[in-house]
Amino acid sequence: MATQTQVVSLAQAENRKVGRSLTELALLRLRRDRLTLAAIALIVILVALAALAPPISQYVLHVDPNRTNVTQAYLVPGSPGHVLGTDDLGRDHLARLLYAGGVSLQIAFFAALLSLVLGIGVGMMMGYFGGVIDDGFTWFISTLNSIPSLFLLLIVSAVLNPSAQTLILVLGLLGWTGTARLVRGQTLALREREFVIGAQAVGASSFRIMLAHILPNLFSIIIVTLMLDIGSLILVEAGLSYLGLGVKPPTPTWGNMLTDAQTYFSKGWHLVIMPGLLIFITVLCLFIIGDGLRDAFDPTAVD
Amino acid sequence: MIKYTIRRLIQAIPTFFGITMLSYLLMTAAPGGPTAALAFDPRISPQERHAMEARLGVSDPWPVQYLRWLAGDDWMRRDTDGDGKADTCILIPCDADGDGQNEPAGTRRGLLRLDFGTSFFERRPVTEVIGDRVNATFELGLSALVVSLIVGIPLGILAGVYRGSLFDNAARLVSVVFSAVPIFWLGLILILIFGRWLDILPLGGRHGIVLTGEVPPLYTRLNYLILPTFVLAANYIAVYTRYMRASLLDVITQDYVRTAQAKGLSGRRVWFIHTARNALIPIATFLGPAITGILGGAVLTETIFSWPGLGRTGVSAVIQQDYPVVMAVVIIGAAATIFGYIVSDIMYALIDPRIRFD
Amino acid sequence: MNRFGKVLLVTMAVAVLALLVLPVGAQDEGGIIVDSSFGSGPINFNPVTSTAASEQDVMNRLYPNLLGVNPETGVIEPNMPGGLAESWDISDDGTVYTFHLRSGFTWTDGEPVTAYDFEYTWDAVTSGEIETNLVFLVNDPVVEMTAIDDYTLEVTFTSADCEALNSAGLQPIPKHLFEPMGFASINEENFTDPDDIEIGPYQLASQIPDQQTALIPATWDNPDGLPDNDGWVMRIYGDQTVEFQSFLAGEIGVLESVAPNLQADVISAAEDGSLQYYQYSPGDAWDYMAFNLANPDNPQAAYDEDGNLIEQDPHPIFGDLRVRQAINMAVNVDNIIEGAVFGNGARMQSIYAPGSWPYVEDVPFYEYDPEAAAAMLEEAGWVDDDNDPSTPRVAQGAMYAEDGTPMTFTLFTNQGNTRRTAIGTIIQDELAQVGVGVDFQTIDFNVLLDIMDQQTYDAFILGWRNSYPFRADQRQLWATDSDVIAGDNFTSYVNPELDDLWVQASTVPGCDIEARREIYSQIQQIMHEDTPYMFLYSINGMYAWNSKIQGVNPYPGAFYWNIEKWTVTE
Repeated sequence: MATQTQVVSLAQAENRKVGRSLTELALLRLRRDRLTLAAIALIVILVALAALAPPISQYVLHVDPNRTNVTQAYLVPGSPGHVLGTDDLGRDHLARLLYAGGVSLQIAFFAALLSLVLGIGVGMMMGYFGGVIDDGFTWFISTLNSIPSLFLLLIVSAVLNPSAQTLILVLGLLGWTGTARLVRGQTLALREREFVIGAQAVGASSFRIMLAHILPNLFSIIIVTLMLDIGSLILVEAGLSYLGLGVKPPTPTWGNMLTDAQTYFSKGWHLVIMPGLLIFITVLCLFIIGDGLRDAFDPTAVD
Repeated sequence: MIKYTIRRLIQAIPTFFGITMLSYLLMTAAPGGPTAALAFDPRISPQERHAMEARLGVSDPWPVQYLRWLAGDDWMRRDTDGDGKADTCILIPCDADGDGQNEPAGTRRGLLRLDFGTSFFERRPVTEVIGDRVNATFELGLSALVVSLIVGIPLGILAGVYRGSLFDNAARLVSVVFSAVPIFWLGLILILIFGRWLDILPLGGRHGIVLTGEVPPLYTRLNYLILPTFVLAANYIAVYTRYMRASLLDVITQDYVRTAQAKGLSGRRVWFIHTARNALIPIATFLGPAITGILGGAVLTETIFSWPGLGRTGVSAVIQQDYPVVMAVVIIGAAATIFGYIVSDIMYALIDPRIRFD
Repeated sequence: MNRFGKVLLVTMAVAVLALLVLPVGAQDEGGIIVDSSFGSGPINFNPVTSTAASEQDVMNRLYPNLLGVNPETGVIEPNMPGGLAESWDISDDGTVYTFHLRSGFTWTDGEPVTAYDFEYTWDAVTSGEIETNLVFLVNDPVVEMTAIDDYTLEVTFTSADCEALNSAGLQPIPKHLFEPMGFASINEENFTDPDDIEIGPYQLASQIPDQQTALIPATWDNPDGLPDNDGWVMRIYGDQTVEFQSFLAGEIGVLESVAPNLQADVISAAEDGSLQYYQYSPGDAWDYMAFNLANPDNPQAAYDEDGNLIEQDPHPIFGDLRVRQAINMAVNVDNIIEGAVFGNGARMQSIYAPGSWPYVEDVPFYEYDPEAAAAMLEEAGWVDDDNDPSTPRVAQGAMYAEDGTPMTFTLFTNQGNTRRTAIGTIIQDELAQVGVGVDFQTIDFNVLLDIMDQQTYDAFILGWRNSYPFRADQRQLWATDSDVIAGDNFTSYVNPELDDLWVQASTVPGCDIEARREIYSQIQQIMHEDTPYMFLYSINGMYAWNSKIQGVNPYPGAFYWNIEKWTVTE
């Protein structure tokens, strides 16, 4: 009994030690990576602005994002009362962008989260149990991966006529395969590590081992994948909107604002530039953060 | 190697069935059905629409439709007495549209007998519909793949070799920038700059006006290929640059490079002979996903550049619910991807002699 | 950076530059008229089975119609461009027309085009063996088409109708080719091969799907002579912005239908003389918001199986006429015209657009008056119970709604149409100001059509396209027996008085225009008051073409009528 407890606590100790030191090291590296820090700051600001869209438009901008006024349409940025001008129906462009940003970011975030949870769950099971489970999922994943993902998305979008919620489900359910493969590989390696074997020896349940011993070691993969996925999903949402298969107006997203603005782009160039720029900046920041974090967590990196 | 390839192809069979079943299930779940789009003529009545659906066979349950697509319907609906109407029917009724007259005998042979069916909209064999477009997509996809390789790989190597230099940072930044732009937005902006403002490139299409049916030879219309190729390749230039750089840095830290350096080989030679070769492995691994990605990206690129390829046909077929065409496009995409993965594996083994086919 | 790196970079730069300066494929475009189409391009030039509008444009160059339209007046008349009938006689009861056809037209293979081709085409359309949209166009009013001899065709209609000729237009298919193979073979022929058979004055030169369709002058005789230009090409674009930019850049010579959002751009681009345009009103289409007058939870056709009128269960909100009128007054249609079509529209007070022949000016508009609208809603039993105008009213003694029912409804339109999205957004906003909650949704067109057929909606925004030649009769939309199963009376509008008026208007003895207009004026007045639709506007039409093209002389709805005479200068 005593030995068993000892083994478990040893395993946990190592686990914690590895986790802490890696994280500490990563934070140390991050602090020197100015580009990533700047990207993080920008994303935090963007997310905060989008999250606070209702109070900002009410108390700061003093506009109702749904109030139309065709006599005030296509005002250019810098017009009195409308910092970024107005859109085709005279609605405040900045307020619309903030609301749309909220929707776009939420879609991308929750879809990425869903695919991450699925990917981790499936990947850990594949890597940990191997055998039939591994083979079955491998077949399923290679099947899904063999269809150009955009085709699959097109078919599903045409079927479901997505609202924001269904789009989250669709993107999440189709996007987990990459993560699952990655996690599977890591789990395969971790399965052979001392602390896992130790935990198995003392009879810990598979579920507990995966949750307590393997999952914490996947932290760096998780956070990097999350950032990159959110970025790509914002682009996917925009692409679907362009093909007419994304979230439908009047629910604003950056993607459908950008697409619709093309219709009247000679009257209001800023309506094409701003949503495109916001998509670009957001995705750029997320990719930079993802890359930066990957470098920071890389145990083999040369300092 | 031949044995290995054959085995991979056999492994692809269940994958193929999985793909087609999934796609068919999804297609038939779509509301409206093909006739809704086919017959938006105010003078068409719902009954006539239902009769049309019955004739097209799209009102049958999806397993029947799938089976018909896969194995044909000449055995489902047969004409034994030679009056031009079916009289022996299994799985599907002889009088599908309910007009009191039996339908003509089934003539579809099904995919397994190499019959892709007939497009609901174009009213001609799917093989012709696809045949008209496949060259355009192949042309664009291949040139995008080649461009992303010949630009991405050297860029990645240089960035890795001169790690931390101004060039490295610029390459990294450019590669992130390329992958962060919505592809259709980039396309539109480039069209406006090069087509309208500078007026040096055409605004879209695969070639200029031709009065005969033949597509002019490629070398006379390279100017039409430049922008779409670039837009489609942009993302993969970025991806290849990043992967190349990362794997190069990975290899550099490994022992045999240090050994080679210790043996006195000059710095640059070591980089290129030993490291580049090993760093090519991830490029090979990445070929399969790149083919899928480029085919997917072609949907948007072909639309904005009015390129008459499979992607654009695929989108309109999905929207019009032209099942036979959608299925053909899905199969071609899947075949290209599976092919890409097999090529990846073979290249992988060629580059890295430690990997054996077994 | 060392030498190796520099070499690599320079090589890449040279490669890119080489691509840019490579010889541009020299195509001879002199003398060719280039038109464009957006979306999926034409794929079928079989006059019987084709469905798309872009295909009709191509077919009109390849096959003359039985009947021609006077481009100036938009009325079917004998001996008009594009029509083979040079005269006709009408029987005393007005149901049998005997058409005398022009001779001298031949198919590509030299066979003459005769009345038997029309008879065969008609037989094919009505055979039931062909997937065709035409059957729904012609099978109701036309009973039979019979060739008397090579150049005489007799057409029998079910009843005398002033607009009977609108249902008799037909482009022929060659009898001598199809008859030996049976009707079913027509389904399989798309006429997309340059070797296929046509009449002229153009012939198909090439068909590259999703890219271009090219026509060149026919190589055989045409009684009206061959075109003065070298050909006509339709280029297909995947993106509307790119299509328009291509026109401004001169890659396209003709924009046959300029969208309202682009009309101002055309006008300003035409200032330097490089472009010409022709703007006309009323245009080809009009938009509206339809109210479901029947309860969406209990959708019923107008008649039961025995042909008896079914009492419709009224819609809880729109069943009350006062509510519909109040909504009309609460919406500023001028704002919608500005926001949705950039001012390029003419407001409609009833079913006809200003400028069309049955239109009468003395039908009033609903004046924009939110306060009066609010008062009217109050009177109809929809009250602002919490004195918060931003929340919807609730029923309190309303005609068809239980007390406490909130005044909110769902408004649909088809997705991917920015014009209609703008309409819905403005309606939603303006109705919110009078305490009417609107759940505005854009949905897939197919889904919307299903919902309309099933009549399970509250309201939707769509548009109708006028037929050409113009048709005053709208029984298809409003007659009781068009309540969905047989027609497009999606709103369940039932008015027996109107049913009579429609019949009267189309059977006026002698078809006197003034007498007909008098009846249509009554109809417009009734439709205005009953307002089953909120009528919005008709969109102005515009054609635009490059100044290099000479001889263009368009009329509303008739752009290409004299294309054979157009020339292109370099």
